[in-house]
Amino acid sequence: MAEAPTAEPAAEPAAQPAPEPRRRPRLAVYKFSSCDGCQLQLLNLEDELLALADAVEIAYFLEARRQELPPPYDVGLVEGSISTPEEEERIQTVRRNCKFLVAIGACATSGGIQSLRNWANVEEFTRHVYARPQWIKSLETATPIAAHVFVDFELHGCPVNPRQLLELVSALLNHRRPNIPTHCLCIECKRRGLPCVLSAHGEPCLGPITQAGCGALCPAVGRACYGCFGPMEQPRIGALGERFAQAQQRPPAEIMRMIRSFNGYLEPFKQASDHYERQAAQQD
Amino acid sequence: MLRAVARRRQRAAASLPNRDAAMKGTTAMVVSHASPGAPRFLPRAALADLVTLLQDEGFTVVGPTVVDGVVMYRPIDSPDDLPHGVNDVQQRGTYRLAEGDPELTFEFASGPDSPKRFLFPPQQQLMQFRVQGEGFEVTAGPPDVPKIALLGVRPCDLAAIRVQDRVFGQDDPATFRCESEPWYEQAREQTLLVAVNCTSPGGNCFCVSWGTGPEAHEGFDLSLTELRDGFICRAGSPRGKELAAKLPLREPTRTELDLAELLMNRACEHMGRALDTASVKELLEQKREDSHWDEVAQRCLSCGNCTMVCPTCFCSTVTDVTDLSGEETTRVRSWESCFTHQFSYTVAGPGRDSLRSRYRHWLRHKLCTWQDQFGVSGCVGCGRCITWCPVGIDITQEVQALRNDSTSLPAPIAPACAFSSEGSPP
Amino acid sequence: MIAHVDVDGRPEPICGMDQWMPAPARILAVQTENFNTRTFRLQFVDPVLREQFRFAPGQFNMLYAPGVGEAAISISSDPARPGVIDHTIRVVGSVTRAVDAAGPGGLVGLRGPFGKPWPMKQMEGHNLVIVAGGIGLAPLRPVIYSILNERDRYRRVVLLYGCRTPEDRLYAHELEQWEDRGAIQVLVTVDNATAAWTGPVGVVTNLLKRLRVSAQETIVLVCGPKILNRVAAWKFLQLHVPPSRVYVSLERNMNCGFGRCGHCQYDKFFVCRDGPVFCFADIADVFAKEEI
Repeated sequence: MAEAPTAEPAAEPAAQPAPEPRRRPRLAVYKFSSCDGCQLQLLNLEDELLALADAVEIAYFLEARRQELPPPYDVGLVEGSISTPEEEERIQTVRRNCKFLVAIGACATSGGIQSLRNWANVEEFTRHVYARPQWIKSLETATPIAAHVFVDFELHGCPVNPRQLLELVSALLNHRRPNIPTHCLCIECKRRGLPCVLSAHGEPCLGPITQAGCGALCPAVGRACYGCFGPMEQPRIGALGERFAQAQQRPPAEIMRMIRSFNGYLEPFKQASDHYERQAAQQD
Repeated sequence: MLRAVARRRQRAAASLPNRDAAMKGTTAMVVSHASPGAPRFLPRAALADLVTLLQDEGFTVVGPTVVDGVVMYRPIDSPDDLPHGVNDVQQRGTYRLAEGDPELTFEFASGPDSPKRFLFPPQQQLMQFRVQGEGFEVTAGPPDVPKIALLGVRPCDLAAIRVQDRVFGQDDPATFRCESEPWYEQAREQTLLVAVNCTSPGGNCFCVSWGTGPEAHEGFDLSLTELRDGFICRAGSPRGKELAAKLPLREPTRTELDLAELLMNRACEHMGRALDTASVKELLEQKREDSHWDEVAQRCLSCGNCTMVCPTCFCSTVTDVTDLSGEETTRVRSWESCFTHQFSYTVAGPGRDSLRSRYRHWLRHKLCTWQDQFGVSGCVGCGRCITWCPVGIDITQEVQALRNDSTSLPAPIAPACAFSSEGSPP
Repeated sequence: MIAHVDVDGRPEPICGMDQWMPAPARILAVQTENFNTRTFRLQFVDPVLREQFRFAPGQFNMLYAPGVGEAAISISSDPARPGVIDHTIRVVGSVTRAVDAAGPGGLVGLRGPFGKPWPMKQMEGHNLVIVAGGIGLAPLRPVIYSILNERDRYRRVVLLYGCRTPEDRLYAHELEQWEDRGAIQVLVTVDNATAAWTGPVGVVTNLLKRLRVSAQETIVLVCGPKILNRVAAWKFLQLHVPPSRVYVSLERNMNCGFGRCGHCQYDKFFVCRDGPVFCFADIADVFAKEEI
């Protein structure tokens, strides 16, 4: 290689090393504070489930099988947020046991719907809900996985999209970058050729600030997107909120509630919902 | 493989005369062409005959239909599926259907769909292949080109098709060898276009500013101008003439012709918007740096809706999708938007990170650099980007604001000494 | 329309299945250049393509890793010997990692060559200053080979090369060879020296102080990171080299390679078709403007 290239290179390419016996990557699926919906999406991949079980060794997936194979695992999928002291410790072990850790779903990536309690008094909640509140051990806040350990990839959605889940696993198996778009839902919606619920019906659609990936489920049935896939790359929440406030006459409290939902505790949404909360308080 | 190249060469050579004709007008949209056939009259009831005739010839007839309160292109079975008595109210960022004249079928303006969806589909498999020994074995190609007849194509969209013809290599002498799109070419050859002239332009239309409407002069197989009892019908191609011969057409009366002309003149006067196109290219060449871009960036959502509904936007991304085993690879091409972060991303980071730069790129490309690239404006005045922008950013107003803005330009980033005599040779 | 796009002088690109199908190629050998950069020697599997493939210095290929995707990589080998193709790659993305993992004997795909080459014809009879930074030497190596193949056609040739450390030099052995042969003058500078380094330390443009540039007879070729491209171009303009004689190779996000997908737009140019080599005179009004 150091010399100038020769016209006649070696005719035979170097002999390929003998292929090693194929070791299937080991997959682990974990649950933290969540509804199990994202794990169910994996099981909902009915047509591909057998191929998946063939491509990876399902080493730890309590929702699907009782057998537990010992760590380490190649890929760990984590569902749910960190809400209890026990979970806070367990996630550290999970991280140690997995080479590649993926947070799946709104709970694991943003804290989820349970993180709404981060704006409220948890003690007061437990007092009202439970007969014996002293038995409840809960953290003050429900937080995403990335707030505790390093996460290699995040898959958004409440629940995650099964196609995206499959794409992620395929990409990991083939060592390529997963085709998971980070642009907004509008692009996906328009590619599908759906009528725009925002422009044509005046619905308060969060599509322009929400990450694509769901396949525009809600607009396809004439509903406004409510942002369950969380914020897109560089979301312009203020500019859209302006439109809701001006053209649609929506009060700040309503805009606040729209943004502070499934992914309300995720940073751009959190900041924006706090802003509209302050605005609402000023108006009262 | 070589045969494919040779075939393309032949095709390119065969299309030379047309190309020369199309290249005559370099910046103006209006290109003189063979004049369409003499006007004839198609009685309203015979619209069904037209649809049946097309279906009999094996076309899937696609026409405007009302879907969830929006006029969109969908396959139709008969003229009953068309939006009779429907009008629309289009403003910045809003679209509402309204009750129109019950006796009219095409009283609405453009919906979000354009013919682009059928000639350059939003998501398309290019091929499927697997690694097989010493090579790649192609297991599937692109899907077959469907045989579609588009009914109700607006003149601005015909102009947009001519713009995309240049992009996809049909009329572009500057193109570099293997870049014409075979699928697009075949779809263009196969698709039949029945244009409908605009008698009631929408609130965001400004085709008159570009000279692309409201009446179609070329690029269609048949064109219709809607009157109360029927349509003034013209054939614009040999295929259109054949079709016309099979339709129950009659000579139009003087009154009918006068009325059609009056309707066209009235449509010209009722454009919802206007864009001052004079020297707009020069304006945007000067406005590379302007504080107005920062101002737009405050409003723009970077959602890409304008690029998705634009009938000329052609950007795309090709991605490889593998199955779990990694053996089979599918290459898929999808519409892409220059408003995404990924669009200009390199290892060194995104080429256009700020919103201001993305809007600036889009607007300057449409109105300015498109003319350098393809000898034609990238805007045809359909107004879709105004209607479907969630925050109602209006291209005509932004251009006006750039015109009016006399604020001094910020200092260029390049040092002023770049061309000075400072620094003598050592 | 865009001027300066000489379409006709370019070699025919090889891409099957109309534009999008890569042609299979084998990795013959891999040479490690530095800690993350390797040179892959490729050869088309199809002997007909081996014969048919031609490229001009400065052009690039779309290198395809099966099942992973494509990346635009400039060609670094001798244009007079197009039967084997060298690609010098920094292993930083998923495609480059996959090509690296394939190793010698591995199967990859190629589409190309694409892009506008360096102005070899115009360079004849001129003094040449070649400025490269880091991996920017890769698209300039074919230029040097071409010069060495026909040395009489060019006058004085100087290569200014800058990299981070002496260990990061690409083609280190060849750099020494070129200098030893005396056919071209090679000046290498590093940002951080090691104990064994006796050459200059600092940015590439500092090396200009060691040159006398006869402004009217010199053609300048620049390829490197953004900041080097800018500073080098301006320095030569300050030395009164006319903008029409300064050539810069730019990097952009290429997806199709033939001016269709729109990704690599740079003002009115498609970098994959109208570039990557640009004459400074053509891009003077947008050069160094941020986020164009």
